[in-house]
Amino acid sequence: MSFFDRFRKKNDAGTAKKEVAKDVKKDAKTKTAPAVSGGSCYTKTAESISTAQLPAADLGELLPGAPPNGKINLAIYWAAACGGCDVSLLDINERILTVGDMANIVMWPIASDGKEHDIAAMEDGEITVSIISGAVRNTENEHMVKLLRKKSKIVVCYGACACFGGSPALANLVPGGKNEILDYVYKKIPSTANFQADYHKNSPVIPQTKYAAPEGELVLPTLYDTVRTLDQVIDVDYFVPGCPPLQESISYMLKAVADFAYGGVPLPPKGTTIGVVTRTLCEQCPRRKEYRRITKIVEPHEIDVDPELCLVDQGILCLGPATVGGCNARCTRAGQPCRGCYGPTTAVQEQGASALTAIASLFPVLDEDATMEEDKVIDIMSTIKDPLGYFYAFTMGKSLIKKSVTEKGGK
Amino acid sequence: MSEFEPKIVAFCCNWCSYAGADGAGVARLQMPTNFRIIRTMCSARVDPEFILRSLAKGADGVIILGCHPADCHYIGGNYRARRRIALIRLVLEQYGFDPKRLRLEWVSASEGEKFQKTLTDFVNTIKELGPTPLQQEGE
Amino acid sequence: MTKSALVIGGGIAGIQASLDLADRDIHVYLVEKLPTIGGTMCRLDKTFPTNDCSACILSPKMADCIGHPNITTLTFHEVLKVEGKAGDFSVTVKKKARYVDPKSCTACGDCLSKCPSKGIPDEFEYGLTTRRAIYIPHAQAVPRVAIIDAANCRMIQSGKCGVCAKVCGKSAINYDDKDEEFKIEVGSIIAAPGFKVWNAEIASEYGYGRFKNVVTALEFERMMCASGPERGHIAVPSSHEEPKKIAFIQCCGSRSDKPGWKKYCSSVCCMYATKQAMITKEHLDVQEDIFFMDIRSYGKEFEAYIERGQKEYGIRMHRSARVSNIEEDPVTKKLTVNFTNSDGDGTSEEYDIVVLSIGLNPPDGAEEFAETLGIELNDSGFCKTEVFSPLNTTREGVFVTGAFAAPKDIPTSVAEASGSAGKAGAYIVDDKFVPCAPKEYPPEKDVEGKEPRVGVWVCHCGINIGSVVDVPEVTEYAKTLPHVVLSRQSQYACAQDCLEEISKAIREEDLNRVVVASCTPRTHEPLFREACRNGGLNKYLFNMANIRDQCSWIHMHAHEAATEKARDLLRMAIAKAALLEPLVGSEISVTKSAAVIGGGVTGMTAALDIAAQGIPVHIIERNNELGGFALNFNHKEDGKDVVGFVKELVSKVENNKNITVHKGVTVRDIPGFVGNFRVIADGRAEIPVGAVLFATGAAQYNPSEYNFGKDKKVMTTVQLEEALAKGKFNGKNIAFVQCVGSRNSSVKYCSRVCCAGSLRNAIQIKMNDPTANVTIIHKDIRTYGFREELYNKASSLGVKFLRYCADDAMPDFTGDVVKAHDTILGRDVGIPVDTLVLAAGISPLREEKEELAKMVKVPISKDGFFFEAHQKLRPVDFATEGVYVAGAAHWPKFMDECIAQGSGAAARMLTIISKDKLISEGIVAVSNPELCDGCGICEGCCDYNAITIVTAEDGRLRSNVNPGLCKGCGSCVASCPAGAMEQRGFRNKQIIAEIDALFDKAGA
Repeated sequence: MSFFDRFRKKNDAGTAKKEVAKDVKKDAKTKTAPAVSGGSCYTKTAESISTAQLPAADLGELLPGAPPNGKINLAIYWAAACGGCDVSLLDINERILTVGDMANIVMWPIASDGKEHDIAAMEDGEITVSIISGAVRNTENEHMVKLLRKKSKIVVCYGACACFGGSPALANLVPGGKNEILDYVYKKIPSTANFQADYHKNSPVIPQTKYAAPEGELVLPTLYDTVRTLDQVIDVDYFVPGCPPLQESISYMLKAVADFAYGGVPLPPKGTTIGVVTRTLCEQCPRRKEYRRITKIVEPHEIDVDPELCLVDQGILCLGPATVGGCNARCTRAGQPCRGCYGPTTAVQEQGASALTAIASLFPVLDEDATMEEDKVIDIMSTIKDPLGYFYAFTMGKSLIKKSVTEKGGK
Repeated sequence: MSEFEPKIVAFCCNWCSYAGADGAGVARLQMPTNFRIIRTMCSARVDPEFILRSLAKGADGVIILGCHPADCHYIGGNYRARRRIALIRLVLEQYGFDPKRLRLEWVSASEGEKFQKTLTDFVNTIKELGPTPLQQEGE
Repeated sequence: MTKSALVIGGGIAGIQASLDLADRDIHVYLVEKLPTIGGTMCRLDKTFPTNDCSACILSPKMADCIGHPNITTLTFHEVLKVEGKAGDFSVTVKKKARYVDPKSCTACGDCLSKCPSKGIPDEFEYGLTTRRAIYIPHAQAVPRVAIIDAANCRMIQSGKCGVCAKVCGKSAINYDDKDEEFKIEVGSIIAAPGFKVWNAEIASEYGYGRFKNVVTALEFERMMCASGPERGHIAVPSSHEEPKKIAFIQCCGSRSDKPGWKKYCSSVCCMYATKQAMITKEHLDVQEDIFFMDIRSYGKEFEAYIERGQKEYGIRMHRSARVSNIEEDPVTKKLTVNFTNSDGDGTSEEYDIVVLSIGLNPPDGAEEFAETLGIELNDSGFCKTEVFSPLNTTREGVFVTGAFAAPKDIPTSVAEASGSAGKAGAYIVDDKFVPCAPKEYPPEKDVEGKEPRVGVWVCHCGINIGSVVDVPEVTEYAKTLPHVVLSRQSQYACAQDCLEEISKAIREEDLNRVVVASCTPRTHEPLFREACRNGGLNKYLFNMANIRDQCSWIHMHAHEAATEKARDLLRMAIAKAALLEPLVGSEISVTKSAAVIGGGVTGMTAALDIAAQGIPVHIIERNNELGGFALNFNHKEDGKDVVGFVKELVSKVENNKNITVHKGVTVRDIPGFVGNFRVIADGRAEIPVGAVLFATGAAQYNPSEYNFGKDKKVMTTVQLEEALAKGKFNGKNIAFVQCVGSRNSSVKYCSRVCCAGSLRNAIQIKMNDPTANVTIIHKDIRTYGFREELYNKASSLGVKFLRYCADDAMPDFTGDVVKAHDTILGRDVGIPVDTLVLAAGISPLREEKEELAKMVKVPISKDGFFFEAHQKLRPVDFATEGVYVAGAAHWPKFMDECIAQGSGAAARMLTIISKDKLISEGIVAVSNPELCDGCGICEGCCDYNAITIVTAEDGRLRSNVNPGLCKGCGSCVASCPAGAMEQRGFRNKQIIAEIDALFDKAGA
């Protein structure tokens, strides 16, 4: 049975279990949290929200012209990424002009020219800053990021995929690795399955990475079984998390680089995560908290979401409490739960495990707990469908266990 | 080749199961040497991260021992532990681990014998499952 | 000036009494005539029914005692004279010449090996081995210093030797030492001189002293003991081979009117013999037989213990088997035991070793001792006490505790010791009382930002660890680990010398972390923490690796793997230790008042004892009157009127200005924590108290057997007593059926009190009407201690006894005739009756207890009684601080035992409610405001309501932990998704360090 089959089956099982869980809720006498809601200490004041927001960096006046020591070289590269990060770099409005004044863009695959051999021809350290988004997923990614590292003074690990593996790293959960993925993609999904049936009935075709053309050997990048984060492949100087990073976060990166290029202001210490606050997103979220306990998890479309109330209080799986702030709670302000793209706070290594334990802790202890069968506990917790996908949506690459395993069986 | 000797991490709550483990010692109940106990005040102190970390570091199995239902020294700590562990077990299953590699058991302070039996049984279970799949893949 | 208290006798009872007085801030002189404290208990291998290692549980108490700032421990001292009166005694004490300066002696042992005067029987080992004229009493002696036995010292006797003085590097030897006398002023005295075992040579028929392989139980205890002369290898004394068969002969010196024997039952021998048989079985593959008359397993969990011995260990129990004599084969030295078998026939069997379960006698010199103290002894030579005042001697201000009052086991002695401490304290605490100042410790060294410097001690624990784990190797290994600057091995890490070594090394080697690899932190952590404090190190900078209980003891046959495991555990402990931080407990204010739940004899006794020290008490009684179950006792025990006593007690309570009685009130909840409970009861304002006692008693089992309630001929003991008291009883043919609602498949325990209850009523019937036919149908008669007198008296009055099988089947009753299988006659007998008395057992009132238990989070035993913190040494404490238990709520017991236990609980409560403040544990959760966003997930994880979400100064929400309410479970810590909540002493990084150290064998 392949991973994808397993996954579908899980979903079915989850639905069945969910109904059981509903019954549980019906007769469950929920222990209520201490009756303190409504007390003044529980109400967020207007000031607290505004002060908790992360304002964009003050970039001062537009600085026309090149830096005193000439333009710096800037490279922007996407590894396994969707391109959203590249687009987000334009979110700095008119400040893009500063970038143009400040830097020669020596490479930016999505927007400008600049070939691998151009980069390879440069001196080591000739590039001042490389902004790299995306996870490392194939040989080309690895080659390019290593090359850029070699040629760059500073490498910025940009966006959730580069920082934590992001969505691409969820591929690590396919136990058969790249073979199973390619097999599935080229043979099993309806469009390709039909195509194969129609045209390659007896020998389905999967693209090969090498092809001996008359003009010479053509090579395509080879996929890896394990998707890695950028800092697992090369040394990284700064991190800017987010899917994609938001304008506030980017402004801090831009300010640091501009201050360095124009004024010689020292850069932040190596390893700094730029554009985040110390506490979590909850502090930037304007929703009212009632500190409710929950008995099951719901999707936002399943209920009438109270626009004022904390999403967790409403049983929506929001990773806000486990996610470092910096985005000003864009998603929760818009009624969508946080998926954790900014990663955990500095005190937490595993965002997934932290979110998981927090959500599990929200399920109240019930009167019947003393006599509860283990199966029932599993039923209750099974209201969380696909926990691995949920809690590690962006951080699989940084989790303690980075990929799926296959039991080989004992003697 | 010598027999596979599993490496097992056992988290014991201070009041019941750690005392039960001591009780097994006082009663000189013999058992396999494959486990190492980490003492926490309550089974609810066991952060799922500790379990993942143990597995990531190469543990072949992780067992959490707490007070029996209704016996928790801290009232409801064991129920909370049970929820968290149920959820982390679902996660481990999704990873592809045999869920039997993670066990939650209740052992009271007076149950030295149950401690012995539980640990012996868990060691045997892990022996049957074989080494952690994480190591087999050479991670 | 505030007087001190005097405790005479440094056994477990004396130690406990001293500690309770000292913890109530009263200064104590503890006088022990031997050179070490510890009494008999420190000579035992294990203790029943938990099989706890005796030394392990006693050592911490001994160390607490010697280290307690409020206790002056005077070993090798004797009390010569007591003058004055209660509250104002002047006591003359003799300091006996030790010839070694205890302050200089380091117990290095150099003198011991050089002393030429050898071959002196070692008293501590009951002469099983020898010592020299200069000696250290034993490995765990407290204080652990040498002493010269002057009678055998060549230098002192003839002036020709002086070797020890020459070899002593510390010049500690002083041959000119003289006895000295001095006076101390004390307010009250507790006599705890303990007991002496019966001289087995009197039983010439058993050949003790003549036959080499006949040993006493205490000698056998030393043979079994890992720290004994044979290092725990049990061998036949004549051949030094492993025994194949061992016989235990019970009632040796007890329960007999033979000359030199004692009539009373020694109370503890059935249990200790079973314990010895069980432990022996764990060492050896051996057949073991216990010969006894009745098995007297009346205490908490005792019945189950005997059953385990029989069923799991295969110990052969011979009931009603009095051994007539023992013969020795002159060649093989094997022993033939002649006894009566279950068919009543004389038979014999051969054994390698015979162990005599010798009884308990009054201590040596009891008469002189009593004269010195001005107190009376009873007919058996023990201290005279009364049923209603079990802790009082005949002299006011002088109290008794432990086996000096009657043969008894350790938990009873401990509870009584606390009780006598409470009573004695009342003569010291008055308006002018000045409490002792707290102990001064050296200032704690600042470890902030310093590189960890870890000192490691690896304990051999005699052979407990050393025989399995390669301790020298592990010690050397520790030296290779990061941060370790010192690693040493120790024979007994918990012994005084090692504790002092730790304190010293902290200063001299500038240690800032200490790790001991030995036994379990559950018992020994406090001891080592104290050693750290004495060395000027915060006590939380200490960590333990449990390489005994959880390693050497459970992997006895896997030396290599166990050594490997010990290395791992030590490495993990060191890794965590390096990350430990100094913690300071916070101060908790104390409400100086107590709540006693239950207004029976136990509760009222406790309330009066607390009130006697000027502290307010609230008694909360569910019924509309005080008195409890005792109001049912119409019989006049010891010629005293129980109901009259109870009424007197009630009036004392109701007229005491410090006691508030709440009658007809049910407790609904008891929120709060030690020092700060609130008792919430129906229709009452909340009662704030500092400590709570559960003295809720138990109930009579309500029989469903024998048509009870329908057949007028069938009655319970209580009903019979009432009929007898009112003169309404005129039965002629009476049978008592014992163990109704006890010792069966559903109620497994023995209800303890029913045998004596039936006997005294049987005696009353016979005295009223000698022609009445009275038969007691029983499984065992359990008249332990002096209650044996009842058994003898009943027998002499012609009460018949019929023993039925100890299994489940009850005797049949046709309505007129009781039919039972007489195990002695070996056939069924029918007894015609007009009255059938059911000795209904004690039922625990489980539901009521469960309700109370939930309020303060304390456990209930499987039998339905409250479960104390430790069965042996904390009999009235709960694991939940500030909550106590006493009386029948703890276990069925007689009134004198309830009274003693009630006093015991009162004394324990006084150690808390007599203070203005307590210092809380340092291991609590704490929220880091730099990271906390007030998401509140932690709040719902706290069952103690210790967490609140507050608005911080910056207007943002933060989680806040009340350290007084926090119990330190860490549930909230594991729930925190932001890493903001941490548990002190169990921080994430500390536990992770343990995990990493386990797998990263190379070290950090």
